[in-house]
Parts: sequence; C-alpha cells; structure tokens
Amino acid sequence: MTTDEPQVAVGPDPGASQPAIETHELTKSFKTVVAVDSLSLRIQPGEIFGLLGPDGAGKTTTIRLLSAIMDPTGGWAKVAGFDTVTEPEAIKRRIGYMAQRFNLYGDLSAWENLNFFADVFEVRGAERTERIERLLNFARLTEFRDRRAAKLSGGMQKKLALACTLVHTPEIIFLDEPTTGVDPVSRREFWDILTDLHLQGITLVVSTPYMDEAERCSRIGLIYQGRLVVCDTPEAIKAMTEGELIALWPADVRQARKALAGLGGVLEIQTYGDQLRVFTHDTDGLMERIRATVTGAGVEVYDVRVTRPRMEEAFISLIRRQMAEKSDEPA
Amino acid sequence: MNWRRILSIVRKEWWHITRDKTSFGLLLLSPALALVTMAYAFSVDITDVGIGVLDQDHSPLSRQYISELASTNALRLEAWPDYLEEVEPLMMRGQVKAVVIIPAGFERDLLSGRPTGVQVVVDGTDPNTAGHAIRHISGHTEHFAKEQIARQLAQAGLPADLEDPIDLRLRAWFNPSLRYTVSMIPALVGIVLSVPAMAASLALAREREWGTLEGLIATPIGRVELIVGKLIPYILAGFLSVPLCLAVAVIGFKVPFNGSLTLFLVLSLIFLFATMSIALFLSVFAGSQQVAILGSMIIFLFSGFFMSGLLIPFSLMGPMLKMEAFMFPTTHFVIISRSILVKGAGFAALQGFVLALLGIGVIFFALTVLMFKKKL
Repeated sequence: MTTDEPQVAVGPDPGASQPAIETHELTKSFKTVVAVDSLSLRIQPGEIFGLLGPDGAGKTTTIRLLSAIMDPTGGWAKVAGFDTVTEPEAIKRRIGYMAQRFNLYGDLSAWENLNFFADVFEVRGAERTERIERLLNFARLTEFRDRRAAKLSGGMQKKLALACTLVHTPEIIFLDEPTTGVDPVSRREFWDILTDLHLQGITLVVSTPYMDEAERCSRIGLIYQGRLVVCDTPEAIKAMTEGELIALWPADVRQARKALAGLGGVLEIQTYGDQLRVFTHDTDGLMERIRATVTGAGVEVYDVRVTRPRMEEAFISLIRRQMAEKSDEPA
Repeated sequence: MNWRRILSIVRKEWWHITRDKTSFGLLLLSPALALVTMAYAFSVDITDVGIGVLDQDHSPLSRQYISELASTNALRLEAWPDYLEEVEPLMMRGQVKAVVIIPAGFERDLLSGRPTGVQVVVDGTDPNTAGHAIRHISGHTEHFAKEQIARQLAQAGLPADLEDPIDLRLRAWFNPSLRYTVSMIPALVGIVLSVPAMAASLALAREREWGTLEGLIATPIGRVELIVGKLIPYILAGFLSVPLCLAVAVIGFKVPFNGSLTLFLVLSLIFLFATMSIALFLSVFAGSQQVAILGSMIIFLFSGFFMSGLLIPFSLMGPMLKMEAFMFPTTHFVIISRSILVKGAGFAALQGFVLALLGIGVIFFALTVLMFKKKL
C-alpha cells in the first residue's frame, strides 16, 4: 500500500510505474445522500480514462474530489503522487480542471481569459505569448480573440475553457462532461482535440453520459449511484454483457416485443428506435424461432441478424445486474 | 505572495466593475445621489412655524406684543381666532402648532404694574416643532416683558439697565448659526461612502453564482492573493466617489471645509479599507448575491444611521450600545468627517479613530483570509 511509503515532495518519477491517480475507498457523503461510495481506482499515466454514468451517479463529485477542490468524507485519493487533502496545492499546479458549468469570465474576452490563467499559473515571458497564440489557434478562436467570452457559441466556450486548462501544460486534465450541450459536430471535434492531447502523453479523466464517447477511452469506469460498477477497457466491458445479441427490425415494435416476451432463451429485450435488440445465450437456434414467433403474431419482420452489443447495452445490462444484486442484499 | 498574480486579479476585478457601464455609473454616482436625497430629508432647521393668536384684550399693548411675536421668521402668524371655541378646531386642522391667548385686561394690568398672564396651547404631537414653538414664544415674551420692566423703571426714575443683570454672551464655535445641515451633511458623507462596500460584498458571491469560483480554486492561486486582489479595486472604485460627495456637500449645501483636503482623502481611503474588509468577509459566507446585499445593507446602513451618532447622540446611548457603535467603521468616520470639515481638525486629534479604522480593517481582512477555504 502506498500509504506505507514515505511521502515524496517532488513529483512522480517517470521511470516508476506509479499511477497518475489512485484512490482507495474514496467516499463523499452529503447530509442526505452518499454521492461517492468507496471508490477504488488506479489510473495510469497517459490514459484517457472515462467516467461513465447517468445523471446523479456521482461523476462530478468524483472529479471534484480528484481535483482537490473538495475533501472526501472517507478514504483517500492521490493525484500525481500527492494526497488531495493534505497537499492540494501541489496537485493544482500539475492539473487542469474543466468544470461542467462554463467557468470562464463572460465579461472578459477570449484572449483576456487565457491571459488571466497564464498569470495565475505563472507562465511568463516569450513562452507565455507563444503559448497563448498557439492555444487560441488550437481552439480555433484566433479571429474571436477579442470577443467577450459570454458572446461565444457553446462549442467555442468549451474549447476556450479547455484551452485555459492547457496554458500551464499540465500532466493530468480533469474534464467534467465537457461536451454536454454541444452539437454533435463540435463534440466530434472536441474529442479529436482530446485524442491529440492523449497522444502527447497527457493523462485525461473525462466524465460523460454519452456512451459513444466512452468508446474512445482507453479504459472506462462505470459509475452508478456512487459506486464503481466496473472498470475496464471498452471491449472488455462490452464482452461482459451476458449472452449474444440478435437485432430485429419488425414492422410493429411494440407488438413484436409483446410477442417475444415470454420466449424461452431470451435474456433481455431492449428497444432502440425501430429495432428490437434481443439478448440470448444461443443465437443460432433462436434466430429462426424469434422470426417465427413475431411473424406468427401477425407482425412482419424486415430483417433479423446477429450483432455485437454496444456500450449502451453493456451499461444497461450491468446496471440491471447491479440493481438485482442490491435487492438481493439484506436491507 | 506573488504580486503579479495579485495585479492580475486586480485587473480582472476592475474589468468586472467597469465593463458594465450602467452598474459602474451607479456605483460612482449613488453615494452622491444618496447624499443629496438624505441631506434634504435631514435638514431639520425649523422656521416659519405657524401660530395663532386669540387677542381678548384688543389693546395697543396687546397688538404690540403680537407684533413682537411675529418679529422673526421663527414664528409666523397664521390665524386670528375670535373665540375660545375656535382654538381646538384650529389645532386639529394642523394649520397652527400653537395658539397664544391674551386675556382681557392685559394692557391695564401691565400699565398699572400688576403681573398678568398669557396662556399658550401647543400641539404636542410633534415634539420637535412644539419645542421650537415653545422656545420662541417664551423668548419673545421674555424680551417683551423686559421692555415693560425697563419702561416701568424709567417711569419710577431708576436706571433702565437694571433689568438685565447678567449679559450672557453665547458664541457657537465652528457652526455659529447652529445650522443642522452643517452637522448632518458631513455625517451623511461618512454614511454614503459605505455604499460602495455593498458592491464589494457581492464580489465572491458573484463568482460563486457565475461558477468561476470553482475553476479559480482549482488553480494554485493563493487565498491572500485572491482577497487582496479583490480588495484593492473596490477601494479604488469607492475612492472615486469621494471628491463627488465632497463637491455636493461643500458646493451644493454650503457646508464649510475648514480642514485639510489631503487628510480627508487619506482617511477616507483607510475608511474604505475597513468597510471593504467587512464586505469581503460577508461575501465569504453569503450564499447568494441577494444575501450579500441584504447583509451589507443591515451592517452598513443600519449602523450608519442609528449607531454613528447621526440621529441619536452618544450621550443618550448606554455603555453597551456605545461599545457596539464603536465597532462599526462608519461611527469613526462620521466623527472624522465632521471634525475635518466643520472643526478643521488635524491628524493629531483624530489618531484614535484612525487607529480604530485600521484595526477594524486588519481584523476583518485576517478573518476573511482564515475563513475562505479553497475547497467546495
């Protein structure tokens, strides 16, 4: 356990395999609710780590705890080798933090915001001027440098906020739902930027409710009601979904679903637009039986095929399992 | 302590204060505007109080007495009732605040050397005006009475100046005509200069509401740097309205300025330091901007009006209240303001108050830094 090792004042030794972020039974309870419940994680340097979960799962609280702006009520967390409770300032020098709400100054221009954070992080001289220009460019904001931040579009604001976290070249960046409320094209652009940063070796911890973004992470931590449900690579998580998957396109989704409800061998049925996605242990025999059952109920089947589960399904399936386990637990 | 960081916070706050032109204008002008409004409200020099006279004697001497009563503009004859029954309705209407009733036989008694009486009925609902009326009626009556004595003495062949054994010579220093405005307005200047502090109390509350505080505490900025950085621009902004207020007082209301302008400016800076420290301390706790504004209104305006010695003199305060009053910076600055403007006092006379202001400022600054944590 790292708690037995002597505290080192200097940052982590690049040669060692010390994790960038480590938590042990990290807990945060508020008066009426436990927002984060005994979270134990290890994030390696250079990972893009995704915190995935629905609203209220505890993602924002987890990120705040890791950024050393909030103290836990139980357990501990170490970021860049420093304890979040006893050595927060050492952490803050090495990280960037992008909050969920737009947290830049609306009445200052884009350039003035960058300049302000450069001052705060003590970035000086020629390095500073050059970096600000580069960041404006990187955020595609060079022509908007003098526009007040409040007057920028949502996507531009997020990029500016990201740029402000990069002004001091941090080792680790925490991003709390950076793409929420942003149009899909901007979202994709934003993730391209994040991937660039990842390739430069920066550790990224990103929370998101978007399942498709989770696929772009090196590893994902699924959070539900404050607990870590699972923590692994996207592929591994998808593989955890029980059974195999048959996708069905019926003429009437509701009727088809009703018809398949009691069918033997069916583990779970999920609706997805005009698709029915059926989880089963054994796809071969079942595919024809499904087609037959649905057609027998008077619903035409346009297409049916075996397919691979997506992140969303994996997630829902794992959550269901978690809830089932919880209701089996003694109260 | 990194001065570059402090300067950058100062610059940022200054932009916040000045970039919204409307609120900046309000911040600069509201002390002066408040001063103008309140000066009119508080100018309690009373003149032209209406009185009525019921003359039951109808003699030359009674008429002489009446013209004595009306000889200054302190009292003004408004009504001449003929019968006693008219007096009450007259007072009810409020047209007169007092009625002087001269009995029949007034002249006859005075001329034959017998004492006579004059009855005065006063409207007691407004003690201020009633007191004024009583004082002036008494004063005029006394003066008239002395003239009568002089006449009688002359008739008896005795020297006339026996009637006035003691010549009381009164001189009111600093404010010869005892104008209320001279006392009120410098005090009001002291009070309105705490208005900018109400804006300062919003400082942290606003960053909390904007969400920028969260981002700021995730940076390595120091607590002291942040607080100092917010203090300085607000003190500066408050300082800009000082000359305006002085101009209103001296030019607009003819308040004397007998002391040193430099001294006043320097001490007003110290006063602003004290009030801004309190305001920032408040903003550490205020959950929202509304709470911050309400809290600062109570602290600055309430204490300013009721505890600074403006409306209630210190001699009327009990020891506990007096002690509390002197914990507020406004109390000290009202005294400083009056002393410099009206009395022309120098630094030596005001040392104690200046020290108190500095002390208050430093204590609250320290408390703010201690209580402000860079954690959510």
